[in-house]
Amino acid sequence: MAMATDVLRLPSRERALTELDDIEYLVQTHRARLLRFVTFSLGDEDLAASIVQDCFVKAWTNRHNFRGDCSVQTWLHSIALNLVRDYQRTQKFRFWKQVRKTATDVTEVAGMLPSAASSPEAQLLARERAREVAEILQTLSLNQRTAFVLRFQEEMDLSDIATTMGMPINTVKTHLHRAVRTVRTRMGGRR
Amino acid sequence: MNCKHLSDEQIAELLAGRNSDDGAVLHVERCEACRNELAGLGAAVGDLNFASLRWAEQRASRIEVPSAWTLNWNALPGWGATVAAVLIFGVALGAHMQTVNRIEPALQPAHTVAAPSPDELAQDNQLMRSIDNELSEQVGGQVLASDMDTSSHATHHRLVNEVSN
Repeated sequence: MAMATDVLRLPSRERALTELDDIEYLVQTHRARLLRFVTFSLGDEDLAASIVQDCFVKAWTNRHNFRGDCSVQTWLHSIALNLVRDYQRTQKFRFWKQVRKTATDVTEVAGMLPSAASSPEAQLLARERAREVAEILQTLSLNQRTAFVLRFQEEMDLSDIATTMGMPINTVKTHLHRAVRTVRTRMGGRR
Repeated sequence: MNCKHLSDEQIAELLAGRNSDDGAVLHVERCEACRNELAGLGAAVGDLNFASLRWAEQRASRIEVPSAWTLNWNALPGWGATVAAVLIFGVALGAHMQTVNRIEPALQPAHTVAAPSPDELAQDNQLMRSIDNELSEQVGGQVLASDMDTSSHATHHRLVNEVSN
């Protein structure tokens, strides 16, 4: 990818703006992670795909407002999270959440673990563990789940999570620690 | 082992790969229970991350690069989009009205009454005046009903007398 090497030579904001200008590069680079993040946030893959699409349109349209004080990935996640929050406030979402309670099961992702690397027992255990965490995540509040996913899946630091969620770092820490406590308790580890 | 186990904050830091808390790291080295718990949680979260990213990479192809039209439409400022929408509506309405106007004459009845010319009006007026005159003359020379009754009675008496005589 020639674009990637050229972009790396530019200062950070210019580099980010160049990245944001090229919508195709932007989509190809970030769509998988954004789709995962939004699917975990909403529990609905179709809706998540639609929101990620909107997220790219919004990012491209407002790219000149990007100040360069965070990474493009953080900025995209904050746009996606705002869209998720907007959507969760609508009546339509509440209605569909009730109607489609079993429509998307994010615990299905556990089935994507590699099958050749370890013994069948180990694979089964790994799938079971991943499914269990995915299930627990669905019981958390949106803020707790978002903090957990951004920290341990997207591997962001706390300041980036705070930027994405639009909250002070201490509030993010509170959501994160509550999420960890729930996961520990439900996984049987916390005494 | 009688010790204070890892807090949620320490577990969160260690799960994220931050080893800044020496006390926590030391505790994990000594405490088997916390070590096992951390290993279990780490494996579960790691497995979920790996599996979910693979899942998302497979499904991500459905998210297409937005078309130039979509991007340009969304790039319009709020008032611009409103003006564009009004213009499109206006053009559509104009086209619709033109079509309707073109169709309407065909729907009108074939026989229509043309407006009378001044000559025709003058002729009509003259005709109406002559009719008025005729009527007023007839009314002027008409015998009153009461007179008619009297004369008919007199005629009747005269005829009766003639017959009786």
